[in-house]
Amino acid sequence: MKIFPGMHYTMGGLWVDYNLMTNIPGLFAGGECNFEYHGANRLGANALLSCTFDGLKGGPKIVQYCKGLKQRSCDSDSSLFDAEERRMTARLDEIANMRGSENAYVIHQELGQMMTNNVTVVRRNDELKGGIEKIHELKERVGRVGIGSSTAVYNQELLFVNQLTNGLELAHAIVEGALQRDESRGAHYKPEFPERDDENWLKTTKAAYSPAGPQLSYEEVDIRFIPPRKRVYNVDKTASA
Amino acid sequence: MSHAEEGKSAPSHSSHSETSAGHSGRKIRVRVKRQDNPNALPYWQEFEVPYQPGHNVLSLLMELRKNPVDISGKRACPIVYDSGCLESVCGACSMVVNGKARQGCTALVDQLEQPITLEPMNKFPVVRDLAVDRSRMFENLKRVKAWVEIDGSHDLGPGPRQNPAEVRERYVMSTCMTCGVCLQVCPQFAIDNNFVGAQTINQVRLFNSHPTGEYQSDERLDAVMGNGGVEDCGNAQNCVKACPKSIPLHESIASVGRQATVRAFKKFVGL
Repeated sequence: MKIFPGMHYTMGGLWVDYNLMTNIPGLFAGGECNFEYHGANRLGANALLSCTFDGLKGGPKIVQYCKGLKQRSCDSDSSLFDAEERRMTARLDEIANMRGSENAYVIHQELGQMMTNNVTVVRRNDELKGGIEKIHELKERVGRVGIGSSTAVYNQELLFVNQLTNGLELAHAIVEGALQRDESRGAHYKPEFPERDDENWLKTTKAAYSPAGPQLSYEEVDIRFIPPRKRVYNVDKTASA
Repeated sequence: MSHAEEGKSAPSHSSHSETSAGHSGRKIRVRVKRQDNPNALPYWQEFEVPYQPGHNVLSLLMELRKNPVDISGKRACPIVYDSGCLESVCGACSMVVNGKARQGCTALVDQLEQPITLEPMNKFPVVRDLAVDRSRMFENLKRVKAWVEIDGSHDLGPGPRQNPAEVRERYVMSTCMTCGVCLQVCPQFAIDNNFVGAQTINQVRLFNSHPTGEYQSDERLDAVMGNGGVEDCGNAQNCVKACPKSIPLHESIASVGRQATVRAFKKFVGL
């Protein structure tokens, strides 16, 4: 077994509002898949916080949302569902018919290696830029993969290519967000900018999908109740609080 | 595979790895029983993977799908298999390795005789290649209510105090990962019968001995009494030998058997 220091969490996830609804109306995200609690570093045992609290809070909010709907999804025109089914079927058919020379598992390994080398705890801007170049290369290559298995039954390769395509977008958002943030905060350390910079970066990075790459924007952090202070362990916090 | 070497480092490719420099040319030979769909006939395919120290069966399969070519040089479909945690807690990668039912993730290649043979567990319906449908076990867990029935967000107060020795005993039972190995090795459990098997019976014991879970004891026992229930156990005790979590399954079967007898007697006399 090989061991190396790393971050133990992505500290990010799907954007949700206070009611745990994503930016897609009616789609809620609770638990560790959303971004809510962690900031730049995740405290140990916060998995329990997010799953229990989101269940407690999100459950009733989902019921409330459903009760407030004027029209139920099952009463909607079936053409809405048919169109989406056609879109997804076309996407999967497109993947199933890919006959290129690239191997999706190799691309996945290269992505993982790049992310591990360039985008873990220590992040240097030149390496992050190199990472984005690599992602562009992999995005281009994933369009040329070959699917070896044509049978429809449990075609893991097909699912893998679909996930890898999405995974490249996610990796792109992570690297781009890290590149822009010129400071060190929580589990993210930039040797060129070793200090936390609250003046410019006390904010949450949000990334939205676009075909050209992630579109970043920022959201203020709610510090009404706990003003930020330096994260040090060699002082008496009760005295300064 | 040449593009794989463009990366900054490629530790999984033997030519780049210092530790495996002395093994250049050595191969790992593996025979896989394949099946294209649930109704297709199985067939064997043989592969060679460049040797690397420390491989387990899953990392071997991962390596194989990056270059799925069989020993005759023919391009093959990547081998389908299930896996989850890669650390022997989820039970998804159960398969038959060199004739023995176990998890692929804990089967270390350096300890296996070659060619390594990989087969799906045959007590469960094959979905494709090494992936099997284990839903029979999950359905049985629902039947026996393998949970503690408390729900809702209202405050129920603290739970009953528990003897730490009993908690430790239950902890071992709770490590069951529904992997199916105990059922694969069981002479009574067959793909076309309805025997519940050690995995489910152990869960009945676990939750019947829990101070809150015991409120559903009768329902759990009723679910494992009668046809296909605990009395169909033939006491071969293969399960306890094969269990990757060393759960004392024979004790669980004995305990639930006794509970079922008491329950049957009480029902008979109308208690």
